[in-house]
Amino acid sequence: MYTGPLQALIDELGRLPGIGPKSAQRIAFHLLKVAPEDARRLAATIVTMTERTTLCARCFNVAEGGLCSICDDPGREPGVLCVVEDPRDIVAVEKTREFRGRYAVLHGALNPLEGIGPDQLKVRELLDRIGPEQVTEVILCTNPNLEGEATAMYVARLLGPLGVAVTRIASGLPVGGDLEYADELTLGRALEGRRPVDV
Amino acid sequence: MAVVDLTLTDFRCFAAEAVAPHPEGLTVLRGPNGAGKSSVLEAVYWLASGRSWRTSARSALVRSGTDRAVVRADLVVGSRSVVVEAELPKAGPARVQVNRQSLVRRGAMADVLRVVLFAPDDLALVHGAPAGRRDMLDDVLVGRHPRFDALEREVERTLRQRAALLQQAGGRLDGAATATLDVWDARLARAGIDLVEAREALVADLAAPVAAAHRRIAGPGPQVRMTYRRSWEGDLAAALAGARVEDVRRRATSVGPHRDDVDLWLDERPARTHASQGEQRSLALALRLGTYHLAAADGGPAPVLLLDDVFSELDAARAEALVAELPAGQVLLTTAVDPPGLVVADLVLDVRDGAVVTEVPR
Ligand SMILES: [Zn+2]
Repeated sequence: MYTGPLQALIDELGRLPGIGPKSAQRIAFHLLKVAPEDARRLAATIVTMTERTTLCARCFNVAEGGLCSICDDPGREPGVLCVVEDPRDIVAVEKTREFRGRYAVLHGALNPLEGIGPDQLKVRELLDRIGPEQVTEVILCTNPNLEGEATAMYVARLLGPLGVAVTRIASGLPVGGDLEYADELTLGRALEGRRPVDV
Repeated sequence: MAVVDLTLTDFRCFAAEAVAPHPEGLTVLRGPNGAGKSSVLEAVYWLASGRSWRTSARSALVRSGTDRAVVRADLVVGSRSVVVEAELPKAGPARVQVNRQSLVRRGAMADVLRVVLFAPDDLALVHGAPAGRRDMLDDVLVGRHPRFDALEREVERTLRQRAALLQQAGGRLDGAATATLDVWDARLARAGIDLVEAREALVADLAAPVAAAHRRIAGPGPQVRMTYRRSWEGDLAAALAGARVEDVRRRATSVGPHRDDVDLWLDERPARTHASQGEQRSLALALRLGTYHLAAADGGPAPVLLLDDVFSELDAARAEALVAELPAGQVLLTTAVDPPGLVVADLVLDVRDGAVVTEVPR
């Protein structure tokens, strides 16, 4: 459609989530107008981000080598774990300021339709932390949708025999929603009102 | 509730057409077969339910040579005015707005537009596959309360997740697959029993209005009864566990709400196999009318009644009985033949080649 490099950028942008052909075109034409040094800085930022961002060796949050900033913080309570599906959910929980423990990121939820079973999630890694970190409570903060609820139930059943208290964030979050989009107040109340989990 | 203005853009054979049905009476849409009169009803039905009873292919709803249809309706709900607009692309998700706000939950539509449809193939409700009878109940449930929409989706999606897991297991379960199947079964048992109990309560509530409608249509004769038949006995979780070996082998879920049925009886005869065509037709009409009367009795504005080409299938006696049953609220009726003399239209619209002409305003 357009000359080689411009079309190549439109194609690349169009592969990003949430960006359709029209948005891709708009962003590409915007970048066409910016100063070369601004374009270079954007490109370099993307490259640096992908090269330097890793997953936390303990909780699988995003990190810059080694442990993430939360695991690295000596002020966090080690005995309480909050289990989330995605690193973005950590941001949502942190905003509530209701939680002072550590996290465990599963990187997904059980979803056979998309070929995701326990082996595709960081479940084993979560269980392996219970003893060494002397975890006494696990709060399951998976999304309040079908797959998130099933995952919470699955994890709760595995945790049961290990003798930790397992709770689930209270309902009241919009059903079928993503934690990421829950507002702080609602999520804060959901954390506060957590209850023993159904198994 | 009533549709006071309906605008169809690139919907079926209509390029751009406005239809203004009578707000609280009977509107007859008259025209030869294929002229597009059923498509008008179909557009209203689609707004209410997000589907069509005539096709499951979205592309069939979009005028050929275009890539999306738009259906817009001005509604009167009690004393409120509501604008509903739906954009139906040939492929991909449709977008529905109610008063310019995106509709997030399909079930919320029931607050502003509910319909009860009579279509020529309603006979299949009586003699056809169980899925048609389950769908009828589930549609009525969504009209009764939006939460049933979420529940029906949850059951349906849990069944699909379970089916995917059984497919992947390939006939045998390892430890991890067993543990995950346990979880899906627990979810299915919980949501499934909620749905089935709601269906059973609905069948109990429908029994009287359906039997009454049947007596008025068919006269004195055999009594109609309806019974909900579960595909399992006892506890659903236990039934799923009991069927597991067989389910894993067949890679299918053999018990649950998706395998249940509604048995229809004329006295002691099962209507599905032991009723004449005429009896089945009376029964199908009674089911639809019973649904309408139940919805009207549930409170709130009465649903819009849609009658698609029903007189072509009815003998004079049943047609007369049906006309006598038509309620006071908004009714849209299509016909290719002259309707029975008893039909008193408040408005007649002639539909020809994708155009709607007001013929006899009264
Ligand atoms: Zn960490």
